[in-house]
Amino acid sequence: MRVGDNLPELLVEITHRDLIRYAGAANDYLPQHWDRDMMRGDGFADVVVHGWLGCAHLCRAATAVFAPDRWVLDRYAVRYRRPLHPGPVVCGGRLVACDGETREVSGWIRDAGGATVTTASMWFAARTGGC
Amino acid sequence: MRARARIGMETPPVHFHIDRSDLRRYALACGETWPAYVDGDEAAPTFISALQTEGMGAGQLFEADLPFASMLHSDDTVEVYRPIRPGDVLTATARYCDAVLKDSTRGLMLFQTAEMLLRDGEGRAVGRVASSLVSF
Repeated sequence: MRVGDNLPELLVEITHRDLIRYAGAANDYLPQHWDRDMMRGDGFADVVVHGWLGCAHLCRAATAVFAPDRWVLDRYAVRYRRPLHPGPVVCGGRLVACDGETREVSGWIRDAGGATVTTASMWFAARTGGC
Repeated sequence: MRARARIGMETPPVHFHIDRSDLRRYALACGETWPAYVDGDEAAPTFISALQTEGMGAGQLFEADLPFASMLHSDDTVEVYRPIRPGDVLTATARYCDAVLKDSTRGLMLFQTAEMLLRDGEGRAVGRVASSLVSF
């Protein structure tokens, strides 16, 4: 992969069940992720997806190229720009820098309406060296 | 602003005994398919988040009693110094870092940031995560 190349896009259908499963695995039971009545009362269309779950899917999109047996994601910075509700999302990104044994990826998540809801910078370091 | 009085506040250390099944359950909940993650040999890249609720004071670190209708997650910054593996005994310490009010098209927003540091049994840093919440 060269600088400027895009990651293959990862399409994920995030369901309410996925949020329950994630809440249990991550010990994150904040009501924003399961209390639909509360969220609608606050003006949201639905519950919001755990930011970390979206981030995890974005990491999967990147590790499809930077395979974990060769690369370790050792730093990342994520911004949750808009609430993400359950439904189909697309994760993608672009290789923005290649410096020795480090690769920098600029990633994004788009919701069903095409809005960019999450952006991230991810830095991968080679586990065993070499490009 | 009351939240700023929390800057520098720390929560007591919390210890985690990392179990293979914790790593497996987390990886599967994220839709991971990479064998080392799914088998629990190594933590998936965002597993550090699963230690945040307890490691950051079980919700006591962030100011929640605020004159805003909603609070959502806004940012995460993570540094992984070495992968988390089964059998690790980790200690989390957390600190309230900042509270900033910003004007936006949605009105006034409060951003609160806290960070958690994970160390292993020998005191070596394993990972660090800084998370921000936005109230509006």
